Amino acid sequence: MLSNFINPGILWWAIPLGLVPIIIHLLNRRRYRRVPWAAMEFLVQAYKRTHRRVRMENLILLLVRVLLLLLATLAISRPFLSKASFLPIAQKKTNLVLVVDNSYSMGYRYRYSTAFERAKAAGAQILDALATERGDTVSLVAMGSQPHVIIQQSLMLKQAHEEFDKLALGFEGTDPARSIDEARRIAKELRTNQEVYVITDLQRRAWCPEVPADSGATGGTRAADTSGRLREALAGLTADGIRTYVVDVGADEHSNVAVTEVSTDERLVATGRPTVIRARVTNFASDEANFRTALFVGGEVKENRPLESLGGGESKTVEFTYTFLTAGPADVAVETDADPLPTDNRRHLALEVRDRIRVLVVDGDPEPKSNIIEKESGYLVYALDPEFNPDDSGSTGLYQIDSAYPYNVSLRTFADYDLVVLCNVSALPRDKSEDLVRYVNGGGGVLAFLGNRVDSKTWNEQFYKSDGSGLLPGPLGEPVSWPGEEGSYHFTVRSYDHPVLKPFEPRDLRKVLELSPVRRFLSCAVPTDSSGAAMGARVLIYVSDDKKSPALVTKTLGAGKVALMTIPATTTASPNDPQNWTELPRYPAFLPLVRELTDWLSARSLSLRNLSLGEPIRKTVNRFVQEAWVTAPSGAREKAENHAVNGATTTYEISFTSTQTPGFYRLAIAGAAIDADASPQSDVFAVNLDANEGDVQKATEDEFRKRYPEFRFDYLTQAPHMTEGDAKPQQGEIWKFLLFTVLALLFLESFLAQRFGDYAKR
Amino acid sequence: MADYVKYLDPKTLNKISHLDLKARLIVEGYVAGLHKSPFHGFSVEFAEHREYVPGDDIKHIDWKVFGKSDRYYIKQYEEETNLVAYIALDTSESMSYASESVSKAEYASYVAASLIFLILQQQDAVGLALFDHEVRSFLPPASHSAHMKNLIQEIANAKPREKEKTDVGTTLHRLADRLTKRGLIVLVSDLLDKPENILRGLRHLRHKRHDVIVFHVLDHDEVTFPFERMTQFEGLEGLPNLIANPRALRKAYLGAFEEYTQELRRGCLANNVDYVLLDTSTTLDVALSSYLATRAGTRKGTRR
Repeated sequence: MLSNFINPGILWWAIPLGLVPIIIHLLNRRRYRRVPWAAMEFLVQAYKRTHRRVRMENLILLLVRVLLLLLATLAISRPFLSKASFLPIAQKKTNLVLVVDNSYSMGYRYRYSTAFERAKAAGAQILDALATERGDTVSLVAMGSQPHVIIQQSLMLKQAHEEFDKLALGFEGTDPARSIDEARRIAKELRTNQEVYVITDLQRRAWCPEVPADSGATGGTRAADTSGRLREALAGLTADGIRTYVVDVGADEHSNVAVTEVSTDERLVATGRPTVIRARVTNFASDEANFRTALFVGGEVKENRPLESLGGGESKTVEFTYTFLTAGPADVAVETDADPLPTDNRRHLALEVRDRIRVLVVDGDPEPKSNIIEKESGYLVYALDPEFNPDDSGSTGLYQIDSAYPYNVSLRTFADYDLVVLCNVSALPRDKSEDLVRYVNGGGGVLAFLGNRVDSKTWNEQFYKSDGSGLLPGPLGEPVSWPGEEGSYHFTVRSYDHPVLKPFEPRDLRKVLELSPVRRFLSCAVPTDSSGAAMGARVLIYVSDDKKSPALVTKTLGAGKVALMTIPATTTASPNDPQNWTELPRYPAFLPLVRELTDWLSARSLSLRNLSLGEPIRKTVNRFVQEAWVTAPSGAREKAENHAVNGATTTYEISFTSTQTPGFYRLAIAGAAIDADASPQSDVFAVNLDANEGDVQKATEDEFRKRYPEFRFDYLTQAPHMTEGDAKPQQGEIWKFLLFTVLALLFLESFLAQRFGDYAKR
Repeated sequence: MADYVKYLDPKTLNKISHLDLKARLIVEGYVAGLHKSPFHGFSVEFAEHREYVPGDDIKHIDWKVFGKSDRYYIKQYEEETNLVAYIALDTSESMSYASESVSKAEYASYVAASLIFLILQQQDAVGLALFDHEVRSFLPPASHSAHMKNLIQEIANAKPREKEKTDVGTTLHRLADRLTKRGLIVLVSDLLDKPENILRGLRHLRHKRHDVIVFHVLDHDEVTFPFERMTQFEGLEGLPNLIANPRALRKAYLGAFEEYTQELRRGCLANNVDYVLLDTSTTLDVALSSYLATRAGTRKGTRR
């Protein structure tokens, strides 16, 4: 039934307009010419013969004309068939569960309206069909990467309407399975006449993810898992006898270019030197797309890239080089120009720019030396800071070096340093060794040079765990020596793609590294199979012996990194081991290698500052925190929670959970600073969208039905309409049909008038 | 001379007030249209020979003269003057209908007047009867030229009387009873009466061995029924009014009308009566030609 009109006011015109032809007809009957007539007899005869038919014809014409005007008025008032007409809603009490997709892909604009606007229109219509008198209830679930139940089984339809109107487009991805499960749970509680409406853009990647044939890959299993959960959830709806409608508000096209990743080159970001910022741009469309990119630092455009093009479904990395001039937290964003889905055009990266790296060097040789270079850490210290003076801590270089020995290392707190270097240390005190593991797990970097002093047994006890939770990538063994008097082993490298080895990558520079001599090294049994990689271990440089023993091994542990050199950082032979292990520190490769290693190790993992949507901000501060405030991207300031960790008075953890908007979150900490220099007053965090949600290509109804054959549902579409003025497009509008009828009636009227009036021919 | 031709158009004639002048103009216009071929009757009394000109009937060629002179000559005869013509003119109310400037009554009066003029010019005797549902006035036939003035005066004075119905049948019966001398009866009327009545009257006249020519005067509107808008038709001769959409009625009306004229035409043909349908827009020479053709037929005795 016609239950609603967009312009109901116009309907009032139907009555006077419908009367117009009748009035004209009556007036015409009154307005006549007078003619004196002689041949009356024939006229009367003709009249008697025809008047019955003429009256019939007149009546038909009159009806057609009245109908024509009524239909035209009706068309202008734009009635639409409410969904209620094909729902059982109209008759009995209904328990409606409305699931509305508010993932950010719903912001995709197609022909004047976004999918979300269409979803709102469709949802409003569905809600309109409910009636309080019948006792209809509403539950409202917003579907993002997790379900958000907004209203549950409410009888107050008006309030539900308001809540629904307030529902805004989110920034989340889509995980339909959980929302469907939630809807099913709510519907099951309602027991009778449940109806579930799912209003979505039916994104293929969320609803019908492609499951690769080889589901051994991690991505494949995840897709298969998602798909499996969704299948179960949907089949569950049907199994429970819940009537389900899928309202498709998606667009038929999908042109979207998004920035899917922004990262640095994993090196330390420091002031005064160029930092490479990489942005990955993906074209989700199937056709080639053109785009521009721009780099923003601190909210200002720093670089604009000219137009580039990218084939359908392809990705490309755009590299920017930027030199930061001031230290402290920095925000970097890369943006592509506008497309139908602007939400994912910008991606954020929070960094900390350093002007000083604090290094703790633990020297394994406690004996004082007249010349620093004779110490175990001598070459290393000069490699980091050529102006190093142990008596003067006011170094102007990037590296601020503190020295310690195994016996006094307990006085130091690892957490105060960006990097801890162990130079041929026999063993650490037990408590400090545990500290060190914690330090690495929390994001610290450790560089260890091994040598003759190293007590392999203690090291293995302290730092090797077979499950990979220790610092060592493999158990340490015995030293291995070059068999002859003269000559030595040297380095071999299989791949230069690690950031540490990047400077040696050019073919003519490879020799510089590979010619470095090694006469003796400590063996370390790094697993060569996939379990080594699973533990995060990777051999960067090998020794050219038969076994291809590792010379440099890296390992990631928790948020931190460990680099292990199986040779010492000195050329000096110790008295109890007369043979020197390596001449490396005197070779040209030493300086760049050490600096690249310290750079890489002291670069804090970006994952602590760069979060996904909804992931909480956490920060541990080694001082008293009175209160902490977070400024969200919207500009709103909110208080963050903070509490002391384990009753300690100086370690506080600050957390902030409402990160529902992508952008930069600025943390400001108020409280007595114990060491203002060590922990900054403010910090910045970046929150980014799920980049995959940008793939807005939609699944077709057929595809959907084929994928979930056990799921029974009614498929409805809310096709995008052209809109004029304020009139919003509505589902089931029939004005087009009405206008066609009017047109047909116009032709019929002309034809009839011509036929009835054309008496000469008859 | 050529100027006279225009007086055959009833609209032009309407501008002239005197009927006798009109009659003259019509006849002279008509004669002028005969291409200098002066009218001569075909009678038994030989008058003269005339050289053949194309257009003459070859049956009048004198073949004996041709035999002698090898030239075509036509025999011409003196006309007889013993024809008695009666003009019966309808003056009922229905005749007053006029779609344009000329009403049926006026047109009919032109026809009557020009015939009188023509007949008298040919030295024939002519009488006049004016009628509606009965004979209103009757002037007996005479052939002298002074008679013309009386006749034309009578016609000019005759005005259609209101609410007077045509009753052609009765009138014709009366006339048939009254006219004892055999002659040519010219009936000028719109004949809005039952065809069988009219035909019965005509048969009566034929029975009395009169020659009859019927000039059926109708208005152009009555023949074509060109009305478009809603119209109230006000019945003349006391008939009721009728409001109707003429477009709807046209077909039926024209059908009925055609039926009626066909019946009349067929009836006339069956009774050897000449039937001429005159629409008020037709030129008047049609009436004169028809009269002359009938008269010629009368002379030659083609009729019974």
